[in-house]
Amino acid sequence: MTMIYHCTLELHDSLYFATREIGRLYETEPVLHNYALSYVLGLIDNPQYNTVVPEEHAYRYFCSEQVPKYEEHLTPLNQQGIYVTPARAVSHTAILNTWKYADNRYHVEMEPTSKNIPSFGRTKEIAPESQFEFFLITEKALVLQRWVRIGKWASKARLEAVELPKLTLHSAGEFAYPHPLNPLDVMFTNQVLSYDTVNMPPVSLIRNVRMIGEFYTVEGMQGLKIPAKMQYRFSN
Amino acid sequence: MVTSVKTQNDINNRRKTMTLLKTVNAKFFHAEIPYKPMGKYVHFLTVRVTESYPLFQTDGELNKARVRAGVTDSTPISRLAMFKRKQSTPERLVGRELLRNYGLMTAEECEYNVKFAMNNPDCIIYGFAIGDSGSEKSKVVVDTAFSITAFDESHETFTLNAPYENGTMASKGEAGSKPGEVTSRINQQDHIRPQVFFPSIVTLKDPTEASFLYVFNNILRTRHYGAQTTRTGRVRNELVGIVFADGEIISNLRWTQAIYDQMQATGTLHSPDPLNEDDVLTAAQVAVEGLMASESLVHTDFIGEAFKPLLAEVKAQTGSEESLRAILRLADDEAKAYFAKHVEKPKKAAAQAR
Repeated sequence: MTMIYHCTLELHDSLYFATREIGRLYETEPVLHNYALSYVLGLIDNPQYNTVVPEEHAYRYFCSEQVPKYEEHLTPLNQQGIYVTPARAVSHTAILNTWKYADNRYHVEMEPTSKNIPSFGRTKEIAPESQFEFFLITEKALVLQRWVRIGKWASKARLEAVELPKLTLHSAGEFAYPHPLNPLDVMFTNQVLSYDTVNMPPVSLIRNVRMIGEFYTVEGMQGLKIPAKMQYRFSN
Repeated sequence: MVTSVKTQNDINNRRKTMTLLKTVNAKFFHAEIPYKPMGKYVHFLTVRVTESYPLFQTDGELNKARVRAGVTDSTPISRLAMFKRKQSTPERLVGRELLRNYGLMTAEECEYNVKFAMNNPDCIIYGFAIGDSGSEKSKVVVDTAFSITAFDESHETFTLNAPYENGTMASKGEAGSKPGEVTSRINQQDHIRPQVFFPSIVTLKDPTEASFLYVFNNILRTRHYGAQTTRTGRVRNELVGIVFADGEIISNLRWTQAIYDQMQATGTLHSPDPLNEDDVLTAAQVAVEGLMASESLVHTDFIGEAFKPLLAEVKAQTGSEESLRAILRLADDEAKAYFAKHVEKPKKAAAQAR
């Protein structure tokens, strides 16, 4: 039985991740990627959700290399019928911050950098109390944590998940979906007609999508049509 | 410096020489530092109190955030913000100072943000990231703290100048200047007032008893936050309690807002006067107890009266040279054992595979 949770994430600290880098300015787009959210919700490598990954891919405190393992980590979610959509901002404000790598000496000479590692920069972050919304589609009821951490600074956020009442699955038809989507996860099962792109690594997202495919409607939520059959897909 | 590999046996022997905490059940601690997250959390509930005029700023302006005043009172106000790194860095530095003082680390082998040795308590507990040598995730997480009172009643603008020898800003012809000329060496700077309160929760993941005491000691000892060169950043950490839990608890923002509501309800917010510290600590305790009651996770709280024996015990242990040395040694042994098993070995294996 498919269930959909409408999730709201309220930031309690400023949120930063680099959507794009413009010289020394690092910008955070008010869109949360569904890969990131899957980690944030604690769905990955978690015995509670039956998504434990093989030992060699398990999360460790010490990481000898920085190589993402999205495919290894997200595939168990497909097997459990769990899928998280990207999030859009319901309300948000941005703030600019300067950061630097300091050491504990009182006097530091500016030296030309030998390595390609930035020593200072400015970040455009999303301010506390901004809110995001997304959907969590699952075959089984899930118990989620209330406080989660998100972004480069592991900022605290409050998560609220409300199960949507009475879903109806409709056969393939044309419809519009205003929220962001991960194109890889929809394009194999739905025919995407038009969209706007949100550039962000590792997989750019799309929004304001018109498509043909199966979709869910929710009782009491007029006009909301959520694409069905989404799952994590990888290009190779 | 000899960095011999410590085995679990050595650590157990060392643990016997250290007095174990009697007020806390050993089940809240790990026997060794785990290599992956195991879901044990300890949350230190602190209220950071300014005692002089600190500066928390970037770009020449004090950091602030516009947020709701309370959980129930939704009026937006601007609050001073103490960013997370501005809290954890001074605490790390205090711990590192002690490790050097007791001969467990040298300035040459490990320098903060310059060269991490990767095998001492600071590196393993608070984490590091070194390009190709890998990264250790921090087990200590601190969040941005917000002042209880609004920005406008929590700061003052100071005029700074650099007067001549005679105490005035007018030149008498010193060093080639024109007599009578008024110097432009004058500036204005906003400072945070004394007795501004920042409720802040420090979270330590997967503690061993020694790492718990190490972090606890760092929080209790750190006296300066913010711009170091100003010499005015005196801040005292008052602990309201400790919560052991199997997950993350409330945010600093929510706690601060609940304290604001509580103080408004009891009529203890006499704006624009500074807050009374006793009122703040009482409200902080009531607020956190209320919030924790509605959290849906497994937690054991040491708050208020229940916290006193634990705090006294920790202060006694970190206050004597002998037992502090034992704590630091044990923390160091654990870090070395962890390093040998989970950092050095996988790296060697990876190098061989290539």
